[in-house]
Amino acid sequence: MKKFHINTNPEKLSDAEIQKQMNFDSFVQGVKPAAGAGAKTSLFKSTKFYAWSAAAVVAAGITGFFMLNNSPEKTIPYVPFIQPPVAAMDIPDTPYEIESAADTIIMHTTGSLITIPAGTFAHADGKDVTGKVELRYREFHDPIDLVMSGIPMQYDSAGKSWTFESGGMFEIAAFQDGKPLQLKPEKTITVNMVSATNANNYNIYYLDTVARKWDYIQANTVENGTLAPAYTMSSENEAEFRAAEAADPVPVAPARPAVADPNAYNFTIDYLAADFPELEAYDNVKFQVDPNDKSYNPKLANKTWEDISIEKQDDGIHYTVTFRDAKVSHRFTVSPVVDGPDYQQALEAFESKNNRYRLSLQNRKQRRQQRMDSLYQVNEQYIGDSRRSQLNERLKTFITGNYNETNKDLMAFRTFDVRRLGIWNIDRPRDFFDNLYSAIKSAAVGFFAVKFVNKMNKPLLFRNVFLTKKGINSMYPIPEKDFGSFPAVTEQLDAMIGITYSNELYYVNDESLKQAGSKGKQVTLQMQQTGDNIKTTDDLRNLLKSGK
Amino acid sequence: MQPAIAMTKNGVYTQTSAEIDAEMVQVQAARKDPRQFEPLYTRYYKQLVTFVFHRTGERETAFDITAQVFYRALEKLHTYEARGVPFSAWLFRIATNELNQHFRKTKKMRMVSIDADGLHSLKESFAETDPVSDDSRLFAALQQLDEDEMELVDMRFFEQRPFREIADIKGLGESACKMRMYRILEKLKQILTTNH
Repeated sequence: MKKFHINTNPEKLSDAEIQKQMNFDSFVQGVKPAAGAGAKTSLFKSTKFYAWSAAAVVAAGITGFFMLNNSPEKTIPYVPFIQPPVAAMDIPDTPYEIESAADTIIMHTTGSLITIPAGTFAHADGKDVTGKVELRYREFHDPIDLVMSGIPMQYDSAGKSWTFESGGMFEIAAFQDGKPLQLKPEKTITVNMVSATNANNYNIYYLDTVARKWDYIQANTVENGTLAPAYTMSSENEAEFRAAEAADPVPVAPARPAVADPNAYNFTIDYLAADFPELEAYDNVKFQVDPNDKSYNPKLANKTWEDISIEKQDDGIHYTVTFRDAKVSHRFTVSPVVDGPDYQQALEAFESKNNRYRLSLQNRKQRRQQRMDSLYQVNEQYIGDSRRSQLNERLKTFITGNYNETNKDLMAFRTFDVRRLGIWNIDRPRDFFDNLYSAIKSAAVGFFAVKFVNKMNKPLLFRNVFLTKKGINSMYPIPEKDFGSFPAVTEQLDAMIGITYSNELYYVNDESLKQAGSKGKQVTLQMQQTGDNIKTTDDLRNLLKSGK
Repeated sequence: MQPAIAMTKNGVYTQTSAEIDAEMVQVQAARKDPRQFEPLYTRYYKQLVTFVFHRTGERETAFDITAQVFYRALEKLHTYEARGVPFSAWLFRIATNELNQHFRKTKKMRMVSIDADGLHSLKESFAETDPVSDDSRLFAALQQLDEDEMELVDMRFFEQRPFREIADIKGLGESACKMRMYRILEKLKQILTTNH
């Protein structure tokens, strides 16, 4: 007698199907709150729940249908391969409306240029597109962008897995009336993407979201014309810069006052205050002879000398005083002091002057940065005079905004010939992450099991953690299943970002991370929650930069 | 070192006491506020719906029963005790009960989903003594197992779960679970030999 239905060709539920049905909010809406904490009575009525459950399934189905077919989101293809870890913090795109019949150059907010020839787009059935087209574009530049975008950075080549370091990445898509468009086979969109590095050993890749892999397109090099400096500098500008620097001297820090030692020799000298601005904090300043200088005789201070000079020593604290006449000269090492009764007043004056000094120094730093910025002009090959100043401003915003550590000399335009809409990347594989990847896969190096706790030492459950390393523009995701076998390399890491099952963000970027690998087989890492104030990638970036 | 986490074909099976403790914290929070059940729901939804679909082969039924499993879990959360066993084992036990109830009510036959890997895995266990060249003979032999025996075979070979997890779901010790599996395989060998 047949007891089981044996199915040798079983179907599988796709991730998309499961995601569509998995809706905790709908689920919990059908749940009545407990009568009190620890209530032991039944929370629900089973029959009601069944009715609700069926309704929820139908509602979820309907919602899913409308989400995919009628809402604005329907224009973005559902790609489970790319799963932003926190949907609310995904990198937003920028919509641009263009006329399909006209040649168009878009200057993105980062300074990147998107050049779209007339008649570039076709509908899904191959027919030409006429009228307005909505172009959507977004860029990813640093590990925070990479983590929050959910775009995989793993690349398989010749049987080996690599982890990419990115020189910048973008996604480009086009729509008309909410329907996705494609490029005509003979058409190419040119993207000159701004990159924070000018390294010549990167490649261009395209993300095939159907085959779930990166496709190598070509090398991205100066030699093949796909890489060029974003800025160039003229010698005239450089001369102007040096002249302006000379006319704007660095302010002098005031010297902190010291109290006169009653057991040491001191004397007073009339000097020009303008020659020693650092001594402005002092009233009734005296010069106290250094106790190590045994050549001083107090009688020398009572004599009238033909010339007395004061010279600041290299240590910035001591001065050399020289008494001179036609026959002899005497040199002493001294330091400025005030008598006890004058000290408090001198200290207050010092604090005030020191605050002004700091402000003055900061202002000068900004003026210097502006002068340096003016040295650079956007590479003329990219855009004509009429828009160059605008492009200059965009690029400066890019540098001084989120990427202010970038040197303009390193800024580059990387040129993509876009023949498919989607995600394009400038990448190179990096040893550190490759080794990490291999270590996890092969279990060939030392490992430790990691337990995550919050500030109250309560256990945390992460579905993913992402590792970043200073100096490498990449991230490495470690899924929950590998938490028991972390490779012992954490001392080389810069930060770790953890994402819980309820999409809360935690991070650690202090010494505890660097020491974790050396603490034995089981390590507890205390993570800090980012909190409610962290709503965007910029917020997260600033938080991690602050080192708090 | 004992691996802290063992992977199954259907997802992650946690084994560390730290993780079991952490889940208990979430359970306690969810007892006070059902909204706090979300991490557990999110974490195990896919595993559960896959488990149910594997046994029913019907999409809508799988989603319905999975919703019912989570409902039951929330309803009975105050009775849950970890006892060194992951929360998932408790959920799978509820799912097994719900499935049994479903098959009783609907009078439908329990499905056994066997893909190529699973079939190969089961055949391998006979390889030394009695290579099974004819799949239909093996399927016929499987029909002679009782429901509990089939459940063990299914979890071990067709879902490729580790013994530790099967033991936790069935509420058995690991060695008892292995012994029971050994006896089922002996039974299958005997059926195959007799029917040869």
